Amino acid sequence: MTIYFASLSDFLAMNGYARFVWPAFAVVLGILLIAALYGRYERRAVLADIRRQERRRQALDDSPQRAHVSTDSRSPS
Amino acid sequence: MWRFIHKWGSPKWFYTTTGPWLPWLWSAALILLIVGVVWGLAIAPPDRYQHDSARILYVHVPAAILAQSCFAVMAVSAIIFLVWKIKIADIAAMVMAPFGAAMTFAALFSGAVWGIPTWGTWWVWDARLTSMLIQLFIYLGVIGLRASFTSRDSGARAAAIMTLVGVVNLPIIKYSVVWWNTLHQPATFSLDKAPAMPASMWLPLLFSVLGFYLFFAAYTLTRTRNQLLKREARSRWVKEIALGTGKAS
Repeated sequence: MTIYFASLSDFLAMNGYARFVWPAFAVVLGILLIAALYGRYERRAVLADIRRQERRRQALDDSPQRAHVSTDSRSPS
Repeated sequence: MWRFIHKWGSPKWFYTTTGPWLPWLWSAALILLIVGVVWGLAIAPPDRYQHDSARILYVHVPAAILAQSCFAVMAVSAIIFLVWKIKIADIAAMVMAPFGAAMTFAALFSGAVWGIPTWGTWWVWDARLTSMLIQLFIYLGVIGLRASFTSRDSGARAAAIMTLVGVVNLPIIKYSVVWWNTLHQPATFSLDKAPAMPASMWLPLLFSVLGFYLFFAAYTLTRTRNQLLKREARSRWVKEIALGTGKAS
């Protein structure tokens, strides 16, 4: 279990195969990174959307001129 | 059996039960991926003939395995959705499709880059490569078919049926290196034979493959829960989570 390469520049050079090894790793691991970040973003977006809808519904319910139809706005569409 | 299915089919039960699993799944995936990638890139020996270009193996093989496993899991979800009408199974299939397509692309891309120094070409119309390209089109077809319906239920049913039809391509990919003469080498791992490479090479690959599997599980669970909240936006327990008024997180 020792590092195969003698130095960091050897490691980066990949004995001349750097232009094949690094793009392959960058693209595959980059896809994983995007997938993980999208999961986080999606959760925030979904929750923010539910909060926005709920605030709109409450504002409608609270407004006096709409008070008599407030039961309609609660029914599922 | 019925109680089990009904419990897992309940959105609220599913959401609250799987919540505590997520940090463990994501951390385990991250650790295994780091071990597999660092070991493969820096510690594992280079191949005698392919030299350091062979290190592409440590991302190419897991991506290709996941491209196929993902579709197999989608097919199981499709059956569960079509037979028992469980919508969580449909949501899972929906979020898995783009991941599978991305893994298929990742396998094709890393293979093409690897092909330049080893085969002298980035592409050949060989059985393994062509069947993987068809797999990418099947994924895109399932995604596109679902999106083309205005009714969510019709789209879900159509996507499920197309997934079940598309499953025929999986054995074609698997046995493409056996049935046809191909440039591509045969399978790296098999259940009944010892690996044809030394432990210093298959061990990091095993870490990498397990890391990709756990990542797939963590990603699918995360996004299934997100989409579940979206579809159940009008139910009380979801509003409690969104507004932070309930005890469920």
